[in-house]
Amino acid sequence: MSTITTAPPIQTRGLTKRYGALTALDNLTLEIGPGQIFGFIGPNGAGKTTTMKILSCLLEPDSGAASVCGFSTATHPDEVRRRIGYMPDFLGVYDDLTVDEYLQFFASIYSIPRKNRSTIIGQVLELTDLTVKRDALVDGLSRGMQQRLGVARVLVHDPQVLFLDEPASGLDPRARIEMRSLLVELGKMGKTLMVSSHILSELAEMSTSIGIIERGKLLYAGSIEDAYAKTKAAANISERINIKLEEGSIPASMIAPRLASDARVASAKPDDAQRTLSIDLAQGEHGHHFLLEAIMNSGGRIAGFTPEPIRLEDAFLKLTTGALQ
Amino acid sequence: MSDAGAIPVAPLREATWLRRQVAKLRPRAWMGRVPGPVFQKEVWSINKRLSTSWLRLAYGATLLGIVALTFITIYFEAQGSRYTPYGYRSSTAATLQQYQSVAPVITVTIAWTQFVLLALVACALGAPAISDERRGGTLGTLLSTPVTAWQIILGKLLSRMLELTILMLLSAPLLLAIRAFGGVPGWYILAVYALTFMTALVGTQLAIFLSIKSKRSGGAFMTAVTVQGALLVGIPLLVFVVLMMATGLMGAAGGPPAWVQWIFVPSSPGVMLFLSTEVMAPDAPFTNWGSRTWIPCVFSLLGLWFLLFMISSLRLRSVMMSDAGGGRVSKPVKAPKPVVAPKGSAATPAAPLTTQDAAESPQSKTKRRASRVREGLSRVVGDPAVLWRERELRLMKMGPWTRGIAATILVLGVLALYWIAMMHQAVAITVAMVGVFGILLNAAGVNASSIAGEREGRTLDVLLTSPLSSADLVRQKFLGGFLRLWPLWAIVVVHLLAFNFSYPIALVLRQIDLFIPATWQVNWGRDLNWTGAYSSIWTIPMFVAALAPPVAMLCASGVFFSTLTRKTTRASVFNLLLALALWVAAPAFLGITMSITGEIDPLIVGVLWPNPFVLSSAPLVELIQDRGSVTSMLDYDFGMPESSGLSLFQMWFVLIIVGALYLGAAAAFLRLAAARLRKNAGA
Repeated sequence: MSTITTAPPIQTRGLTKRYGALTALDNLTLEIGPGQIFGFIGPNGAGKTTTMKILSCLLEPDSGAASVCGFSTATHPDEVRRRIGYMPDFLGVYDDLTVDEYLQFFASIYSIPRKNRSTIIGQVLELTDLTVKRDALVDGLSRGMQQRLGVARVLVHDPQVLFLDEPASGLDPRARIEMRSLLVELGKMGKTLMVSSHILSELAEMSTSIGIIERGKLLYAGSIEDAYAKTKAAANISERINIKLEEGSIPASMIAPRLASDARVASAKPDDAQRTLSIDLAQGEHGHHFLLEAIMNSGGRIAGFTPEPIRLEDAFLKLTTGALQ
Repeated sequence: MSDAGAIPVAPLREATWLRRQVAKLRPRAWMGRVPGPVFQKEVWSINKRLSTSWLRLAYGATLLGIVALTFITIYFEAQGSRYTPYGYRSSTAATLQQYQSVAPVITVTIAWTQFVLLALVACALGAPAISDERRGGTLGTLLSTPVTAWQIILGKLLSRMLELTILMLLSAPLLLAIRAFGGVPGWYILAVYALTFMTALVGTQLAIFLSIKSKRSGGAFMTAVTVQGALLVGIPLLVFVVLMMATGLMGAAGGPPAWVQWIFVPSSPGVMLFLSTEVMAPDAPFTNWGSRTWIPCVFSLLGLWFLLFMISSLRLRSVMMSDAGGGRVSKPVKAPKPVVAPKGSAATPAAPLTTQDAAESPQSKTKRRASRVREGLSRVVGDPAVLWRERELRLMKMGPWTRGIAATILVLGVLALYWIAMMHQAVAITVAMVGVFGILLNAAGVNASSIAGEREGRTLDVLLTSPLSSADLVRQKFLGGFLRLWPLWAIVVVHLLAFNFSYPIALVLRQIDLFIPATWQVNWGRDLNWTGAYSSIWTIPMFVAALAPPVAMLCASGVFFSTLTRKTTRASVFNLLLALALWVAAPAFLGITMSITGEIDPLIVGVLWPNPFVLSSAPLVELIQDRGSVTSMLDYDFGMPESSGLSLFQMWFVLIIVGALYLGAAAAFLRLAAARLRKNAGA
């Protein structure tokens, strides 16, 4: 058996998958280290689910190879299945089972000894905060609870790698926060997570690394910090500052040209109606004092001064429009 | 502001409730909403589907094939009769006479073919109507628009009836051509179309009604087929037989009396079609059945449809309200007491449960009542898990009321039969054969939703990412479905046992008569004479050995078909068609071919013996009906009506060989299913 103990938990080499004329995955090469929470980002139809399905042995790639914990998905699917937990974007439920029976069902499928099942189920229910619903029918649970049950289900056999496809989709804000905390907790337990989501702010908060995919091509894979740095470099700015002017101050449009003439300012966008100025600083290390001086010297009275952080949304937009290509 | 110059407006009069209701009844108020947008959308979507074209093609080809075969058979038979001792008669008159003799047979063939096929197609078209909308989450959207529940039901029904009418009209050119040659009365053709149309209407409405509560269209389809069969054929036939036997009129010359006609007429289009056909025959036993008896039957079916339509509309609304959380709550839900840790315990007291957390929603309670799960008590899942779950599923999901009604009808029907005909071996065999039909019908559907159902419920992907192999999954699904049929087996076996011990049972039942007034006494088993057991000890083992292998094959083919399609209805239809092709069409085709060529025995025997109806009836006929002629083991003479003269050992040999063939086919289907599942796991 070709077990490679030091192999990364998730690895793909040149994965390509086509559906007729559509190329769902185009030469995808990816490596995710142990204990990482990998946020997989991309527009609808980008190839996220296809990648997860190949890694979960549900699909075979047309070319390329994928391995999980050192086991090839093509040659050792049984070994891979024992080490992964896959949660699809929509949790299909058996409407005639209770939460406990549902988890027992999967515990049996994963050949967990009967004597240990009750304890394990109790633990995963506690972790997912579903203990009170142990004897409730699965079909009667709310969407948020069903999603949490989905997570409980993938934890029953204590897999090393988790593939979670849109785990927070359709959840209310509270349930999303709870789900995020749960996934962070799993990351702390040393599990490797591949999480796809459209809610980028959530991924930014919990992911240790991200991958951005569009039309089957992996545009970026690496740490979030690197993604931000690349975004800033692509936009040729180092920082964005939002300035709010007081009522009675001279209009923003009169201050903007003066600021724009400074070499350290990449652009200055005024909005007289809102009395705001949005200033992009050019690449390089710059303090903020020169901006304050310039505005005050122009007769502007500052009500607020807020440096705007680069968000994952910005990185996503920049990267998916091919700005880095 | 001054009111000067303002146009005086008459104060608005609010219409009374009565006026509003009357206004709703005006044709202008509702005519514009019929057939409505749902109808248009359904017609558009049905016509766009590739499966619709295939359905029309397959239906037309089947009809044409059957008609061609019948024509060839009858034509050649008639051709043979044109040889005379003086030579071959080849006059135009003789040819016309020949065509005239062919015409009624072809008409009857078309009538029955389209009657049976359209009854099936009606259920197949109606079954996904609402369940697909519910699963897709589009029903809630529909009901949040001004479209009413009855408009949805009517739109779905009319669109399907349009498709069924198109299929029905495919036979019109054939029937009209036949009519041109004469030999078939016009009223018969009209009766055929009217009865077929009304049966299809009731079948579609029944399937739509069942699909309202069903999450799987396949389940709704199989239930619709069963209920339709019971409602339109089984129960009326049972009532008819009981009435005829009770009055001692069975087999009497001139057929049943008028009062039986009027009880029977409104109930069954199948029987009506049979009787209408009989009237045409020159030596018909039911000659006193008029050629217009089918008309009240059509009106009674119309009434049945309207009743089903009304119930469906009301039920759809209530189901939607329940789904949306607006179901009626019988009493307020009490919040449970907060859980407090005992004094001195190191454990942190658990947070008090909120009412929302602990209380069960009304919908969930309804679901729990419908399931086998008892409140606060989960079952222990057995190993292997998939097999356990399959076995836990019900063969047919019925509420307590429906279950009670069905059980009452069954028990009363069988009791009535026993009362009337405890000694009639033919009745015992007929009941067992109805059981055979029921088992095979359910076997065709029981596993058709196995994999397709997992796809529909979107649970298949999760199963396939587990260590459970495709082969294991398929095997457990197959076995679970096979074992789920046990109640039907039990009914037939209990019936055979009861028949065997009918004399002691009758003696016990007679004791009941001692406690009731003389005028009400039943006099159970009045004709019984105790002559020991009424069937051989081999009856049940042979019956099971004959039927179990084809049932296993049908369960396996069901699993295979369910890997081919995402729709459970399609899988059920494919499996039913396989059964029809193997056990009805193939013998019919061969029988016709044999009668043309004059070559009989080896092939027809080869095809007919594996037929489960023949295979299971042979032991019953020999071991029950002909029991009296058997005095030793050597006297057994198993076979078809013509008798093949098989001894007991030879019969067992046939059963083992045929059984092995069926089990081999079952294994092949399972292998194919597993391979297919592996290949298209994530598709």
